Amino acid sequence: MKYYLKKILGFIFTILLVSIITFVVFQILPGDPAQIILGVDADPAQIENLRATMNLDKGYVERYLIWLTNALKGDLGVSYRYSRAVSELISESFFVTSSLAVYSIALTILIGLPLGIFIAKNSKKKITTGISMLSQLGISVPSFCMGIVLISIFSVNLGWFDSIGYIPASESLTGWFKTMFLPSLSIAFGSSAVLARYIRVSIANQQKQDYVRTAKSKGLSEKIIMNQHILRNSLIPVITILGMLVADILGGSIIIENVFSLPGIGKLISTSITTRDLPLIQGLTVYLAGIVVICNFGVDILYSIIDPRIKTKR
Amino acid sequence: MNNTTKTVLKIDNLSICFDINGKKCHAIRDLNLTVNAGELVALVGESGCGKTLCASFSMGLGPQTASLEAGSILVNGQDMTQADDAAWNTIRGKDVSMIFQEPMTSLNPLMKVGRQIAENALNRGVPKAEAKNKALEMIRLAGLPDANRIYNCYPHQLSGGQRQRIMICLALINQPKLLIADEPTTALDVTIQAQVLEIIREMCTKTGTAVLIITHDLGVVSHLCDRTYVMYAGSIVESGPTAQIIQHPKHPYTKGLLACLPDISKKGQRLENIKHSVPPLEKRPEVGCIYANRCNECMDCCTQITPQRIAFGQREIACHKYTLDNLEE
Amino acid sequence: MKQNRLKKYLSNRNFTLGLIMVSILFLLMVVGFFYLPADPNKIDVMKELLPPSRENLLGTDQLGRDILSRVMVGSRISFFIGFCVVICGGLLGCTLGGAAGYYGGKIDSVITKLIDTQMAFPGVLLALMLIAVFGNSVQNLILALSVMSVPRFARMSRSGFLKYRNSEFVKAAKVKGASDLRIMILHIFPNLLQELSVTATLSFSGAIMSEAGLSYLSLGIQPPTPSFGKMLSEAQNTILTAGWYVVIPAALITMLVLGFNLISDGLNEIYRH
Repeated sequence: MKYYLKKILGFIFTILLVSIITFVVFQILPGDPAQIILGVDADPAQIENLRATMNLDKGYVERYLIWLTNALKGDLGVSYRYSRAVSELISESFFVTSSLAVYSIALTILIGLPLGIFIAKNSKKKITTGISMLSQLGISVPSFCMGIVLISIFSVNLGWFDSIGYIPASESLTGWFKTMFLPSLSIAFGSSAVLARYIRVSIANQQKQDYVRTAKSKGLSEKIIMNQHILRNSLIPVITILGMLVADILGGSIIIENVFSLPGIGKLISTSITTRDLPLIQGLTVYLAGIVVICNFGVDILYSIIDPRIKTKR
Repeated sequence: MNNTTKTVLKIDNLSICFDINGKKCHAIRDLNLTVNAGELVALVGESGCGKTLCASFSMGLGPQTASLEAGSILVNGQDMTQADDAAWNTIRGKDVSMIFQEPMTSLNPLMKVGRQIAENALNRGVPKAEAKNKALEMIRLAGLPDANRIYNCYPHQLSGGQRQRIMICLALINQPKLLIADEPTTALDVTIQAQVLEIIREMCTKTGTAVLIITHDLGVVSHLCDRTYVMYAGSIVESGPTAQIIQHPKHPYTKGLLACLPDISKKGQRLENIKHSVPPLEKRPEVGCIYANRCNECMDCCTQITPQRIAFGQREIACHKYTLDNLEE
Repeated sequence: MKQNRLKKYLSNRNFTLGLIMVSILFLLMVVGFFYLPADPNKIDVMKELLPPSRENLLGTDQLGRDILSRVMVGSRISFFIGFCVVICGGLLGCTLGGAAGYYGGKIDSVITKLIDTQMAFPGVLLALMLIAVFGNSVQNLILALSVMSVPRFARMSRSGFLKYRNSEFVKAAKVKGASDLRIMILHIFPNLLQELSVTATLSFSGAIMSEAGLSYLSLGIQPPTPSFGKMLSEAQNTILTAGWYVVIPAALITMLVLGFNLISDGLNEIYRH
């Protein structure tokens, strides 16, 4: 129980840290936000007025606290460009991004896990060298390159998928499934290669452990030793990697959404940056960082379920 | 035991090589060793002299880099010299078991220890419930308190001594004919060493299991084992009933080992040691006595002619100092 | 002795393969300083989207510019950014990690916490945020990508300093009265050069990949300066009329990233044996 309490405290601390960093970064911004919104030749009285409504006349700490309490209430400010609540904009595009992420993670595990195990089991065969080279390639191709290559192969040349456009799941589930496949695959291609690699290394490390020798001395078959003993032990370091992959996948989805013109958070971010829509950028950053931190928290909990040593140690 | 003459482990003229930079180097040379049913046998020698290698090959767990060059290994009457993993798996854990030096890492950290014990029985077709009961029974036999609690513990929750007892339970649950214990107490606290050895002895007597204890500590062996093999650099230099070897050591190496033991009668004296250390594989001479360069009683012939084994009574010795005549005096 | 060493490096398949890939592009870039087949920014609407031919070895883009020339100039940006990021990120990361590993205690826990927090942050998001705040320029791009690469260097150097801080030679130097800074730079740091080279090559490829991604989003290098990422997004727009164009920037980015990754892998293998 103490372990979980510690984890939750750490989790809250990280969220606060992220919010402070984001807030500070957006405070050192050159120029007066009120001036930026209203333009250079605005009436000084008007600017003063806006400064007051934006709380710009108050101290940093006070402003941070106001911003934080509002953020906790779900109020992340109003977008300059869309003149709508940031939280509203985010929640609209949330489903696209989160489903893309879940889809990609599922594909990553579905491809990466068996591949890694296969390579580890057949480490001496020729085919493994080929797969290893392929996985090296997978790690090196940036997801957006992969996305464009996939578009050119499957949409332009083969015509199996529509290259761009998004069909909401509420309209057509199969249509949604189809439009999300190529974007997810572009992300999963690289991340599953990373996952497979870590699994291979992890299994190879576990195979050298003493307890494997003990298992052999029981006369257990190779298959049982792998399934009952080695696999679970190998997954522990891999879970850490999965946590990092979640951050990577979310980051990757920012670009991929632009490649495939998906109306998700990534698309929102790039538009907000090109239009310098500060409240929107700030809100999005805190929001995404929050999601990543929550995922990592989840990974920690998963960790403690798989590894009994964690709860008692430390 | 009614059939004490039956051998459970018989190693004949075993030679094992490693390939070091294209050169074949003997790690074990012409080794003979027998363990009879129900017997406690010790294999003694310094670290690096091939004891563990010998034990691993008796379990079919030898490293892949080592190759069996000559000789044969018979386990429980079955010739296992050329056996593959599948063949070994039919007898490993059932007829022959092993416990290892490192109790801290020899157990799977993610599996409850009880299950790890029971797994060995399950693997031989024992039903689940019965395997669990058997495991609990073994834990009780090993003198661990509160068997039910221990059964559900993970290895990290147990101490080194407790884990080694779990290893013993695991090894003995199928009542094997032979238990190979590779330095079972080296990694443990001195206070626990004697307890663990006693448990091995007690439990093996109950299950009728013969034990081959591998150790570098003659003191461990002296009051525990029926017979002792003294091994040096891949060969057996002297063997025989433990009491005789301890009281009347013949081979200079055995004498050296015994002289190194601290003893109350030697209080105030400086402890002896043997000069140099075991030569690495690639530096071992092909002919002559391997021990010659460290021997206090080395003669001219020692570096030129490989000493042959001479049997007298229940003992065997390989040293140029002795002939049948001067031994029987 | 030196030849033996070279042989050891070149006998590693990954290292050699990576070196060849990177060298090809590097040579292409160097040649570009002295000779370009055509003006990379010369627009010629008559020649738009010509497939590769003798005149334009890699064809022309949607504005009729010679792609080969643009590639030769564009590789400068990739190498330049990669180089700057490794230097800046490496300096900052090694300093932070070194201090954490060498001093331990509170300094260590603060720095480790910071690094862990940043690791949890998607790198691209961080870079985007910095660019959003500081504006769009090459310096800011380098700054953002350097910050992104800090955790990798910091982790490497932290574990290295942690390993060596209690070693005999450090104790000996302390007894001689050497200052902490001197011990860290002259005594411990040289021991980390091997791992540093592995991390540096990996960061190099990471920086190239991120630069391409940001330029693809029009948030990195600004036109008309050619860069691989921007070329890719331009090529995507013409994917229906000139499918071959996409292949060129995609292959180049992949080749560069793969090359550095292979070198990093190779170095790692060489040092482990």
